[in-house]
Amino acid sequence: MDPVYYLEDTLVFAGIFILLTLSLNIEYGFTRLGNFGKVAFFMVGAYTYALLGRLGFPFYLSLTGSTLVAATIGLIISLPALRLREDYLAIVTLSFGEILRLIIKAQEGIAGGVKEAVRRVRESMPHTLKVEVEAESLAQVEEALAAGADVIMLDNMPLKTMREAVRCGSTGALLQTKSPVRGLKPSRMSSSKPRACPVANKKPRKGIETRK
Amino acid sequence: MSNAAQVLLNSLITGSLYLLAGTGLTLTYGLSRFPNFAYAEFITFGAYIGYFTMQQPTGSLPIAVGSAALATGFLSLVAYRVVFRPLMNRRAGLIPLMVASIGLGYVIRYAIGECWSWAALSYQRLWPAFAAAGAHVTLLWLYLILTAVATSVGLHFLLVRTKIGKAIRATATNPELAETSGINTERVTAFTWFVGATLAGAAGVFRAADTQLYPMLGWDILLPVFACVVLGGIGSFYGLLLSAVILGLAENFGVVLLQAAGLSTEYRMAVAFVVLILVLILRPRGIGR
Repeated sequence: MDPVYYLEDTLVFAGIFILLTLSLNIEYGFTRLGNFGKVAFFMVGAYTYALLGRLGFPFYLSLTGSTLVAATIGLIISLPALRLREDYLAIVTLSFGEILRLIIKAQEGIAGGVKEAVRRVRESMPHTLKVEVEAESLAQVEEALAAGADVIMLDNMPLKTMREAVRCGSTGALLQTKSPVRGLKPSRMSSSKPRACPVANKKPRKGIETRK
Repeated sequence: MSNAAQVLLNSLITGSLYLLAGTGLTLTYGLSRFPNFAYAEFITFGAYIGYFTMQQPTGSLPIAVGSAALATGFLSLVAYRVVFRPLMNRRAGLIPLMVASIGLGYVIRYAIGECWSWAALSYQRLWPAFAAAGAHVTLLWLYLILTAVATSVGLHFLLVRTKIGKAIRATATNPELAETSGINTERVTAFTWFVGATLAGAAGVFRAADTQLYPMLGWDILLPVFACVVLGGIGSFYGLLLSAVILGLAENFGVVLLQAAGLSTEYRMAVAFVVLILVLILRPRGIGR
């Protein structure tokens, strides 16, 4: 690895943690207030910066904006929190960080993303059944894998993409295609890990539209 | 999901789980006077021990619950002896103790993740289900409610009728006075840590059998469990009995409201957070004291 790059990377991380510890030091060091939810404000800053950046704000404006948002949320939290006992303050700040994490997790995608869909399906079915997710691109295969799908239907994929998908999906889920794959034997596709990914040459079931 | 009988039953189930998980926390919190955040990982540890015994050919739910309870109890005892007692003997403040408990939690969580993988696992059991009074019930839920009720009755008798129970209550109320009256407070505290964690382990098994198990399992329910403990009054077992039911109801009716409002049910933890904040502002000592 390039030593200059390595050094730069390390210094950047050191800088981030210097800022974090300075922030903690102001609270715990000077006022003895144990804030266990520091990560929440860290996360607010990161997300505000990313969202502002996506809207096209320049770097310094995004930076100022995210510090202001984090500071405002800190102010709001401090109003009830400062009157609490030491251990209650720890519980409240820790829970606040956890809540914020859950909210941001729930916000991925408009309706919660594939992950939420898979989770809800799992909630309402016995765990002996399998969850199948359709994917049309590699990114979608990865998303489905991350969401914990048992079976991934490779829908309308070119052969090359399918190979890639078998490679990245070979440890996580069973892969299926809608129509027989021409020019590719199942055994060859699953040669790297034969146990995990037999590609089933399923005949199209009734009621499912097929694309040829 | 949205019929009233089902919501009430779900509340009872959630409440039973929080009661099982919260009892150990409230007892040790009241005795040692610091919140042990590693308690979340005691729950996870119990769930994984249950998974291990369920994988054996002779595995069954009673064996899983029993072995998980024992193993978690001993884990807690070791944690108390190795990590927390030396710190308390050195008169460590609240914040160092809490930081130590978070650190211990991380150690246990990552050890579990390395041993059993980070992916979600399942007990691979199907529980017989039936319909009663318009609600969907599984046998597992009945076992859970039964266990919670049996433990509550057992603990009531332990705390009121036995010598060790009296010693626990005495130590929680006034450690110095208990010490001078000839109670071995060290042993009483260690015993409470053991008993508390056995219930955490059992709760972990039920939670994992009902849903899935993953290394963050305990951490994900720690917030409502803490909300229960604070609402019930720290160290108050009888307050917890009531607060677990209240939180179970609040969470399940909250889910119904969330679904009606078209929001993600991921926000259900926010209900516990709101309860926690309200209690701390309006009645910080809880309802049981």
